Amino acid sequence: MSDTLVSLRNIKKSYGRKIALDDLSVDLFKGQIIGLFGPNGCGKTTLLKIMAGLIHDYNGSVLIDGSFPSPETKQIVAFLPDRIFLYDWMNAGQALSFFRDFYADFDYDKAKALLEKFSLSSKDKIKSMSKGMQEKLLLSLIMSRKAKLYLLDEPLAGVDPAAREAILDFILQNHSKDSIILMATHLINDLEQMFERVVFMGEGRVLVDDSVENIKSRGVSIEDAFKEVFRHDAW
Amino acid sequence: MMLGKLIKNDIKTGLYTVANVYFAAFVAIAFMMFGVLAKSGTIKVLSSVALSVIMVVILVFTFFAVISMFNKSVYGNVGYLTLTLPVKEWQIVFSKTLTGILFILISYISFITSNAFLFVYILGQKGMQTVIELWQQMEIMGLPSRETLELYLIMKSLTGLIAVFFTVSSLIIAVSLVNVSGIDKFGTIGSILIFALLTGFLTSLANKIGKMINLNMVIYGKSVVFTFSNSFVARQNELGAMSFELSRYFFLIVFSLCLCAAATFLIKKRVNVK
Repeated sequence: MSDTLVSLRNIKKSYGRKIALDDLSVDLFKGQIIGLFGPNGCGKTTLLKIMAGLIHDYNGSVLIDGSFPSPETKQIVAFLPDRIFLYDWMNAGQALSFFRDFYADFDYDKAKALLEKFSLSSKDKIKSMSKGMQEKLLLSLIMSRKAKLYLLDEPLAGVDPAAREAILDFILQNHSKDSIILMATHLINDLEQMFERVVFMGEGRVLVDDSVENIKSRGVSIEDAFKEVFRHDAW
Repeated sequence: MMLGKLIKNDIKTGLYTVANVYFAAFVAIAFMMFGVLAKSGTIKVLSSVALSVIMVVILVFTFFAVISMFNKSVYGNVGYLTLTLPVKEWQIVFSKTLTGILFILISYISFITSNAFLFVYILGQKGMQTVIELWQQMEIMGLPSRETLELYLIMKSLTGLIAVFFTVSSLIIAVSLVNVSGIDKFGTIGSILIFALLTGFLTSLANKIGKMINLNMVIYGKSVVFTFSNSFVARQNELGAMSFELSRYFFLIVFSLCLCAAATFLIKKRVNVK
């Protein structure tokens, strides 16, 4: 398919004896918003880290826009990990300048506007922000890039339920239409309306890879489908 | 261009990390000045002792700061930022090494300068007189001329720079080895242990090979001669020249480059930011 942006083939990765990814193959197509679900330790974060170019010692083949993970692919991949990854000494404004320095696709004005929207000041020190505010800042930075592939690892874990909807709208409005958003999350209920496709992972393998439309046509919600898969011993 | 941005950012991080101890040194100096103006012996003594202690703290703190900065920004949470930047791994290692060298050099220079300052401050005019007399005695006894000594000090400073490069590259590979070998639970202590073993082994290796090759630099006035002959070195030294064995520093440079290349390899192939 010509719309394939990411192609993973037979990916195997283990940490010592623990197998994180077990012969995993999946393709991601341009313009999709994909939910990546699975229990803790099923390999979601490892998969995202491989695509982000953070892990290299795996078997199998990863192609992002036709290239192996490298500094070139990092120019088109925006990764939001599940932790605060900015320097202690930075304030919000310095974080914006840092991103502007390193990423050609970073829209500084958009990021500034987003800071205002989240009631964050450029002078706010990162280490003095609450976890929720830090996550809003990180999301602003990542979503202000015009990346081709957004990898979001638990982006709403520290955000209060009231702010989640606003952030979801914000994510949906702030990605280009032919980009991919791959979001690993446990918040199936809160987020299921935004996904077009879902991937369920268990023990390093893809157990279900289907469109939301197909799943819903069976008369079940994504959460029900998830419970159905993980209730059994399939994983 | 990206390399310049990395260096700029690493310098900012370094400044943020060491700023407090340098600020403490400036406060101590301010008190020393105040002691002179207020003619208070107690303030003069206390502030001098404080500056001496702070300068030792700066030396030790900078060493640990270099370890900490590299560890946090590559293998800690900030590694998620550093290693997803569109830059090559060697550029990351180059930038961290250069910044580490810079901050360790600044700490050495500050230490030497503050000691000179303390010498003048405590002994005043009498201290300066002692230095001048010592210098005159050296000239009378036919010891190396001022020109020889100046050039020797410049050359020795360059070898000092090589030693700092070797120290920083050893620190970087020690931190990397600890993080990729699964013994990261030992943290800084593990890094220092590997650093001590590595520097001990490589330094003695460089010294042994250096002695075998025995390339000497002989400085006399403004001229520099390279020789493998011990008798030539001895003759020149009797005439007031100064010399030192050079080839070990060449090997220290080679080892340092290999250590940086190994760190780059580990970051590229083995790193897993936790």
